[in-house]
Amino acid sequence: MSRSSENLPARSNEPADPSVRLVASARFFTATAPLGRGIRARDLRPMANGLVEEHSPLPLEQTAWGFLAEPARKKDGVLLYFAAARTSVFPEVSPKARAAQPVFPAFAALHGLRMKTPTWVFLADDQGVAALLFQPGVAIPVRVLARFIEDEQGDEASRWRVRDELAAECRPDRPEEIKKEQVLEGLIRATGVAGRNNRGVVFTLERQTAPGGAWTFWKKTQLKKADQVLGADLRDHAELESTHRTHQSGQRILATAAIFGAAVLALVCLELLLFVRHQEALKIRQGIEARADAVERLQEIEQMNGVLNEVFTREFLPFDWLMLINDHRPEEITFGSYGIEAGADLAVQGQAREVGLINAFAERLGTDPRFRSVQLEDVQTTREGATFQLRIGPGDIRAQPPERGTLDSGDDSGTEGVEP
Amino acid sequence: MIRILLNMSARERLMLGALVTVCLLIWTTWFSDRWSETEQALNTARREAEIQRTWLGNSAFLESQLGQSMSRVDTGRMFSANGLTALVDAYAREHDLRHELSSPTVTPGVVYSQATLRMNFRNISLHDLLRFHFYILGHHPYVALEGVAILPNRADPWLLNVRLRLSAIQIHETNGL
Repeated sequence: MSRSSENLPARSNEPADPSVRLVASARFFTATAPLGRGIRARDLRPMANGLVEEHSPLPLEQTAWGFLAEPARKKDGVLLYFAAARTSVFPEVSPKARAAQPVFPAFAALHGLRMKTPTWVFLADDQGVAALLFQPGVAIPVRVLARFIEDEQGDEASRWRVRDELAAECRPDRPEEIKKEQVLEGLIRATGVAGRNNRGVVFTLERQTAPGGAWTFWKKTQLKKADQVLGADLRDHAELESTHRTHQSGQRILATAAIFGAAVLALVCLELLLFVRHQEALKIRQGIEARADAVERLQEIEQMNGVLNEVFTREFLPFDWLMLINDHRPEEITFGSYGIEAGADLAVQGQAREVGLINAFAERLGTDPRFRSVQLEDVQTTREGATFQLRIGPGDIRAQPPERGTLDSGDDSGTEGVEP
Repeated sequence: MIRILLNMSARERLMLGALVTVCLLIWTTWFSDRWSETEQALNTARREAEIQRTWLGNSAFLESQLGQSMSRVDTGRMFSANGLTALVDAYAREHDLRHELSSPTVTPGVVYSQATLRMNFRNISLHDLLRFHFYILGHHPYVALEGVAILPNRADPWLLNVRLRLSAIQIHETNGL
């Protein structure tokens, strides 16, 4: 798949996204160091820092440096570290603008390029050309040779001339590798687009196979992880890490604030719902109060009908019941008091010469179907005889009374009922 | 806002977070209480409104019952609490009975009111008691005897001390309208 260069930016070192800036490869001192197994990503920066500090002629504060790493997998890994004078990398721009713009060496755009055989790749930038050696299976260049072009305007012929010079210099360290090494035909140039929040940078690589030829799309490479981006970035690492930490902290704060905000919002919504329900309750209550008089009147009508039916059609015959009880009373028993309330039992208190008479009297009342229940209570003996209290449930006063003889026959048997 | 939070130390942020969390918890608890109260008030109001609707739905039937009652009763022969007291007092004085009247208790209402009077007769004969009873039964259909308690006089068992409870209903002419 190829794409015409007309659709791409004209110059390789002027990325489409101004948030990424590529610095000419020729400005950098580069070197590699082996990476043993067990070296973790977080150990790379101190390691590179030490190497740069060791090899840089300038104090570290005046050095813009970075690294690309190929972690050890089956074989040992490689660390490519690079450095340049800070003044040559960073123009006079405001710290804010610098903070917002990641800066990489141009050759960082080839990170992730994998070759099957050892291959030299020639990368053009606005100020020069770099020859980069890729070993099989290693995604970073292990050697970098770079030259400035004489023509400041970036004349194409000058670039090709420098490329040819570099191609002539690309000789392996060991003679036995001469036959193995390949040289990639033509020139490569790169444009980069940074993702947000150091989430990766994507580089688009274009290739020119012959002088004067068209630049066509060749490949895409990527600095995928945040630590790769931070490693290759030439800005002050401590500052970058601080920015990164601040950013992460800001994200955490934002997430926490969002949770609190959501909780507050939910509570506010619930408060609104509560307000609506409260208003509904008030409205219903107002309706109830408005109808209360009418309803109370209807309730009274119902109640009045009940009272009229109960009180004034009820058959309350206190003296008839007294006469009925008196009919059963033997002469030896006298009543001390008599009481009846509407709808309740009759209460009779009396006294007799002996308890047997009282028992017989109670039993006789109990055999009368006109009484619903007869309960003898509180029988007490005194010197004169015995007192008692009867609780009698009035039944149907129109029921058929028992034969007189039947009543009389109970005289003898009733004495065994209740003992005082 | 985020910048202000970023400028704070971790401890300050933690304390602020704790404060906000506590505030939210207090708010949630307070809200929960008010929600329960409102729900209870709303449910009670709905139930009461439903009961009222039932009553109002039966208004035609109840009004017809009231009409029937009004056509059946003679409101001119009904007594208020004071009327009931005056009636009993007049009867007792007319028949030379020793009596004591308590203050009547009244259940007031817009449609009707009910008065209850407790009274005592002292040293009354059974004959006079029954005559009083039949007088009430025969002449005053809207006065009802609701309770009787009789105690004989120890000195003369033919005389009785009687405690009575009388009730009278009075339907108001306006029926609460």
